[in-house]
Amino acid sequence: MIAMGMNPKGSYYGWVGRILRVDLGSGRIWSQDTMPYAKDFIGGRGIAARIAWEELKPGIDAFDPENRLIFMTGPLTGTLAPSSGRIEVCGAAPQAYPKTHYTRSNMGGWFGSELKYAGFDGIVIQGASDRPVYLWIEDGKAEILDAKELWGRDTFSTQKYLLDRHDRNAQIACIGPAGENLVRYAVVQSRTENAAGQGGFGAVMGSKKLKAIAVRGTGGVRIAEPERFFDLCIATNRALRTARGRPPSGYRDPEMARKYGAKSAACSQACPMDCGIVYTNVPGKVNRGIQKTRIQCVAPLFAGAERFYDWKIGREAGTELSALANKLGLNHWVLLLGVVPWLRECHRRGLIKDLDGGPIDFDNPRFWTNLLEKISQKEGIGKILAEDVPRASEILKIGEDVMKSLYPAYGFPGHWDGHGDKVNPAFFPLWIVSALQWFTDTRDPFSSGHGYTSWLASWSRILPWDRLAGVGEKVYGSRKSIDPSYPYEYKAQPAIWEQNESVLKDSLPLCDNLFPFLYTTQTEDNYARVMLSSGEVVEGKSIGYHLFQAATGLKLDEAEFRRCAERIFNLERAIDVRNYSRRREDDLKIIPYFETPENIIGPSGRLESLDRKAFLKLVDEYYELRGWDLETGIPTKHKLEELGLKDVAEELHRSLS
Amino acid sequence: MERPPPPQRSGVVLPIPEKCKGCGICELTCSLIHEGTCSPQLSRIHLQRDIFTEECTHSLCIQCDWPACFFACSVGALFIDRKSGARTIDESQCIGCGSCAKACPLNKNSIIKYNPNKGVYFKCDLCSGRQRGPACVEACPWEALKYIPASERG
Repeated sequence: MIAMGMNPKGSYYGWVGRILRVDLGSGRIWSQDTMPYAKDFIGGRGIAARIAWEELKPGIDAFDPENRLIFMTGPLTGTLAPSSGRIEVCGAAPQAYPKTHYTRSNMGGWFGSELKYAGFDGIVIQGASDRPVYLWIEDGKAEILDAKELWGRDTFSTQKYLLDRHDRNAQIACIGPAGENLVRYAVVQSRTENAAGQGGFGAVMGSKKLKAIAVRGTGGVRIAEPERFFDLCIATNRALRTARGRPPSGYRDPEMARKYGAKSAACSQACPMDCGIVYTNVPGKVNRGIQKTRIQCVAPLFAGAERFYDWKIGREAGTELSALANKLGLNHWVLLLGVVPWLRECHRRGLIKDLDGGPIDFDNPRFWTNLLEKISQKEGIGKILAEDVPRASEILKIGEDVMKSLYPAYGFPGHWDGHGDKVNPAFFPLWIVSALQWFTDTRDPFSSGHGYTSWLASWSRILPWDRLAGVGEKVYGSRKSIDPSYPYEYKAQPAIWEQNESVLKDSLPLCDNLFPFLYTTQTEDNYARVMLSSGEVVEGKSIGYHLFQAATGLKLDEAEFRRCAERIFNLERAIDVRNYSRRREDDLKIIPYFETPENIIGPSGRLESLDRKAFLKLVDEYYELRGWDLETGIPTKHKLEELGLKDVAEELHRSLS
Repeated sequence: MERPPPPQRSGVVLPIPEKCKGCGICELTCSLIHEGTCSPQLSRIHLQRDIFTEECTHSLCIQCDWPACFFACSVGALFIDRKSGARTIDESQCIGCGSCAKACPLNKNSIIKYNPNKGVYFKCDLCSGRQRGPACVEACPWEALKYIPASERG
């Protein structure tokens, strides 16, 4: 059961050279060479897509043992590049709707970097074990071990057990009861608040009876140009930190620090920011005892917000619920922007009267803990809610219209779309680009797609539109890409640029919260640039390319590098077309969601909704720019060949005839 | 046997734990600058993070006034850097015997480590020869590491 001596030490820069392969059905472990994939598909999402194209056959359900669960890092993972702990998780996703389909998720933390220090760029898991197991990986070796002791445990206790048993410096990706019980939005959890959340890949682990992957590595990632790489990283960190004037000085809330032992922390290897707030001393409201957990992203919403999510839970119970969801292994985003709002609205309308005979009361923390436990154990109504809202409303035959107001497509709740996501302030016409990012994706695009709508919603509070449009010209090719007076003009270009950028962020990888680095208050034209100590100036949008080049030493010009992103995006589309018959008419199903009035008023001064006719023109423009057939939305043979995907072009078009 | 007199005093890099965010930039910087590799294992500064509290403990060489490592080396691989005073291992002289690590009073915290690829021991040399001083101090985004030159040490 042990694979040995995989890495011919020190042969590569950036990549460590081997992909670990595990068949849990037969217990076989082997490894394959990363490098045949590296140049064309970079890493992470790109290499995963190529493996899925080769191995994931049409008709494979997420819970089929033949589904591949792919953990893939990129050439920057584990390096000094900003936020380099990231790793991509791919496969047929249980959350995907109406049928499960191939998509992706990713997480930060330290698991990805540790995997590379152990000598592996990624892990591909296939087959299913007949008893609970976990995978122990240490410096080029891997072992499938019995997880009888771990099955049923929450994610915190699972990690503690494995750290005590193996190595206190190990990093762990694991599932809680939700993953074991195949809840469709079960996460793959690492530490207290890093998770590959969207997609429900925790349930894929559960279906394979894989409780955890623990990894310890003492190797490293070699860098082709160490001096230049150091210079790039440090200068980028400095520029990112001063983009809004003064550098952040860390979390300063003496009251929270005193009361709850709160402090800020980095959430991923080599990140120069401190987005996470660690609470070390919060008294439990429902379960007695002290809560210790990191809180970030959407987690503060458990406490309730002013509008729409206005349940009254308070910070202490909110922290407890956030930690509980992480312990059970439930996805925060789906709970807070999908399941809970749907349940609440259905209750308001009298469609759902009680929770298995008990009262529905979102202001009561005990109701929440009960709800979360029921979902993760699939007990009572929890069994139906564990299917996520699109399937639950189908099973119960209620609240389908409520579901449609919250879930734009693919079984994923809204995100930066100006409609179902009422947390984030996306206004017209920014969400036109969001809609174009959503309409050809296979999931919520905003795990790595914040560059347009989210950046502009926040930077337009600091800088005038005229300034922002100037940056838009440099990045997207026209001022109209950003200028709000042209809501339906030149929008396909920024959408495609951001989709491709998203591929790069998921493949290198880089954090979506920091990249692309486009705006700053520190330059005359407000376009971000990084000045190296050598005097060289790197444009904000090109930082990823330069980091890639200095790390790997590959002689690829920037246009070729960006073509990798286009290649990967087209390959993913090819999987979607071949395996799931994705067509233009599926893309257009998103339109009614955006035809409802937006959440907040933007520069136009009134509540807007999508103009179908104008949008369809953008759709045509989008397909044309992508090189996809206007009638069907299928990448043309010519386009795929031009991207160096000759074999994909042939197989895809053969499968269509 | 009488103790030999201490050599020239050294500067030191001091961690300020309350400012640290646990990002590990110091570790990766150290191994990158010294070894051309990003590897916490090959770093001269070591960070231990608690996964539940994100509490960080740092270990790195305190550049002792009376450096046991320096006196323990029988092949003359340890030397005192003239500019900073850093107790430094000359890799070309090191035979990998580990006497320095055994002599170090703090070595349970990984102050002097072994590099299996090169067959030599390594420790913090305050980036001797680097014009801008210790790279970890330069790289830390939070000013959680401070360089104190010999003349300013208490």
